[in-house]
Amino acid sequence: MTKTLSDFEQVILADFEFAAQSDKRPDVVCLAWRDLAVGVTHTAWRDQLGAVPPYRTDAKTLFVCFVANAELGCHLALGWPLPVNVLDLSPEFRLLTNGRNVPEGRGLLGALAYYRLPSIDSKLKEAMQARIIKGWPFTAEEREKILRYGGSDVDALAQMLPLMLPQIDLELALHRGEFVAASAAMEHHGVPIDLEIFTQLADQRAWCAVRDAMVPIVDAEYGVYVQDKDGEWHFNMDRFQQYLDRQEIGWPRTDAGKLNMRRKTFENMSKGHPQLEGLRQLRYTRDKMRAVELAVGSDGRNRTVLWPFKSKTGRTQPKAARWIFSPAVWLRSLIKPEPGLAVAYVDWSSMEFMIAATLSDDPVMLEFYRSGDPYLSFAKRVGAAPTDANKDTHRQLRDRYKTGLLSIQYGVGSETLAGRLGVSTFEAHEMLKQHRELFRVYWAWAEDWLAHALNSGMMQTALGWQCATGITEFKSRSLMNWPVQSTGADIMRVACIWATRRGLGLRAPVHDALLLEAPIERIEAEVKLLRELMRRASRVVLNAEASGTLELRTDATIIRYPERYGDERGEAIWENVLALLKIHQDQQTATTTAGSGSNR
Amino acid sequence: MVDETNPRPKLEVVPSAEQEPNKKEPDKEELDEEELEFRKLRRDLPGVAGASAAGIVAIGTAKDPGKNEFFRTHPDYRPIVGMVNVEVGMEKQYFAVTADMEAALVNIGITTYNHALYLTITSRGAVRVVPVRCAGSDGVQNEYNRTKEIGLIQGMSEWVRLYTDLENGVYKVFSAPAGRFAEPVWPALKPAKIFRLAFREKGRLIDSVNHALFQRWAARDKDAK
Repeated sequence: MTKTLSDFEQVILADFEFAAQSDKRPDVVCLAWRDLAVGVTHTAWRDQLGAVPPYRTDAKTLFVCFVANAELGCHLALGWPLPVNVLDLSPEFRLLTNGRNVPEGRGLLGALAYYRLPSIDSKLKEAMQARIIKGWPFTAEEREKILRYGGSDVDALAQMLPLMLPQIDLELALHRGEFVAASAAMEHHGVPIDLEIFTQLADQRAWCAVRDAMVPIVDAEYGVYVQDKDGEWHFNMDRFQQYLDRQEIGWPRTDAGKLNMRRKTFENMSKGHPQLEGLRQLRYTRDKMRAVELAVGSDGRNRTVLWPFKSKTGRTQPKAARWIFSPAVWLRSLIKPEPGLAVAYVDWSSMEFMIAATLSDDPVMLEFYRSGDPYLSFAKRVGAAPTDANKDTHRQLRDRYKTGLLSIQYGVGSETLAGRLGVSTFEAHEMLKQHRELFRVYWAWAEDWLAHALNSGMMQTALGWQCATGITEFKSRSLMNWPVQSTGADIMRVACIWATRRGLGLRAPVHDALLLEAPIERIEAEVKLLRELMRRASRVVLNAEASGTLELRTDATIIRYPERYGDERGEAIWENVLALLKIHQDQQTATTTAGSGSNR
Repeated sequence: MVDETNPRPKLEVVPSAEQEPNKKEPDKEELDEEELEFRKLRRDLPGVAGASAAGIVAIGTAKDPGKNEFFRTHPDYRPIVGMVNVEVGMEKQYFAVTADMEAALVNIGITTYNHALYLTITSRGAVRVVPVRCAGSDGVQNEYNRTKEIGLIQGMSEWVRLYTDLENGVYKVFSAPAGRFAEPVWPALKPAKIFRLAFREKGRLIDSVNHALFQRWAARDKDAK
């Protein structure tokens, strides 16, 4: 039976105001809440809050808020239990307007404007938020204003809730709310970081020195950077063109005929031409990392808002610069479990391929997945790899074909594919043709899906994440990619909820993987359980029938203290960074020693 | 009501091993039960894996539910609406007409005819409104329309497909084997919203003399030749 508000004895609307603590956890300033039935908004300053919430959090209570990861993060910071039933109106609003233009944005003010409800002025809101984030101490006048401001947000929730409710499938909304709660717990714990090295990297002078010194070392292989008269390094397009000519790499161009230097293009080309990976990371590090902005707390944990449901596909989308799993993969080597602990990176194998196979029910794709590695199987089928090739003997080729196969799946053209795979346009064209012949059931489904999406004006996953088409979503590649990514997000949600229910120490969702932390003596058992939960999560989402047997396999890598996490794509740069840091430190020590010597 | 005997587990901060050294591993039955619980959250649309009708916001209008497609007809939706239709290439476009515009159209020589609207959904999830011209005041109904309506009514209780019998000038109905498709999941839309999505939002409701089609028929559009 569909759930309604009357299923709950109490409905609580709540909003916290908070600054950031040194460990990046929320530093609660005040709380405003309202029991919907009573209709009176209460406020309490931090020192008035006790060891338990001033409202119930049991199974008979519904906790309503906007951006629940913040409110639940405050619960955790205060040592309060998390509510059993969470209705987060932020992802619900995102869901209702997904794929549409929302002129005022998707924040609380945007949602109020959407429902034509009165709200405080956006400038005032910004000013209040800025003051609260600045933190303690607060004057009596500021306290009063902040309490009033918090209360106004709760009043806004009370006005918005009855307007949104008829559009909300409460059962699914509670499922999403539970995932946000699991995300809040992940944010609360954070990812363990090697604080010793991070502290050195976070030092702006040291980082600038490393960043500059890294250029000639990494660029020696490419010769595309030039130094100006001030000693600043710049990426030179002419030299890059010469490098591409030397390597005989055809690079995608813009409509104006210039080299396309978008981050995504570089990423894709590096997969087709692995020799470019070092340059890609150097470029990202120089362009995007003026400073190492990773949000690392004083306790050595990387914590940043994970932003569940931020993406159109319902995937989690944390701010890259502040998150350890950013495109600068070498940074991931900073992940290091504390003494006595271990972390495990558990990922679903060939997730996107298998989701496409199950959605389309393509027997050949399913067979490719069952036989082991679908990407290598395809490479073998098109004659690019010998029949005895495996992941160890042909890793680079396998990675290239993974990129290629997924690109084809989403409707890539032959020229782009040629670039990504480092093959001729003719070969790419043939590969596209073979893909269509081999996986013809998938292609028939893809056409059906496109027609359905455009006919109905809506796409929706099995677990109810949806996106309108025709307004901002109309490109066929995007429409074909959506069900696979969103289904992946469905699976991820179920797995995170189950793992959190079982008390597993999840630390981060990483696209198609989960980072787990546990004591060394328990890590293997917990990885085993997590893999079982991940397998079952895929089964729930991939099979329309309970008797269905389709499921995803998982792989796990365990890192025990004192080991550190490593991504082979970033290992070379990481080694360089460590060496350069050491040189910088030695220079600093020498300078200090010389300085103190001359003083004597 | 919330099931008191089986409340959802409470989410809590994960305790460390020291705090909970003898943590019990879940058994298979427990995991199976949870899997079933989550399975109930699925919102599938028969025929389109991973898709659902729950959020549909656009509805097409067509002379039939889809060429050679199996469909079901909504059992309750059947408003009668005055309509005109226009041939655009191979396609027939239907325009609903408000009651006050019927006289205005007659004045420029355009007659509206009452149509019964049926809401259909195909096995691949396309939702369409299918208008069927009603019998005239003499009680006579075109054979194609009469037989199409028979098929649409049959679609209220089973999955069917319409095909044309050119020899006899009628539609014929082909039923899908029982159990071939699951029961349809209808979009949770009120009749007024269905009408709005199918006609008003697509500019297919002639509700004023300023409507482009009226302007064209009355030769009031500037490009008229």
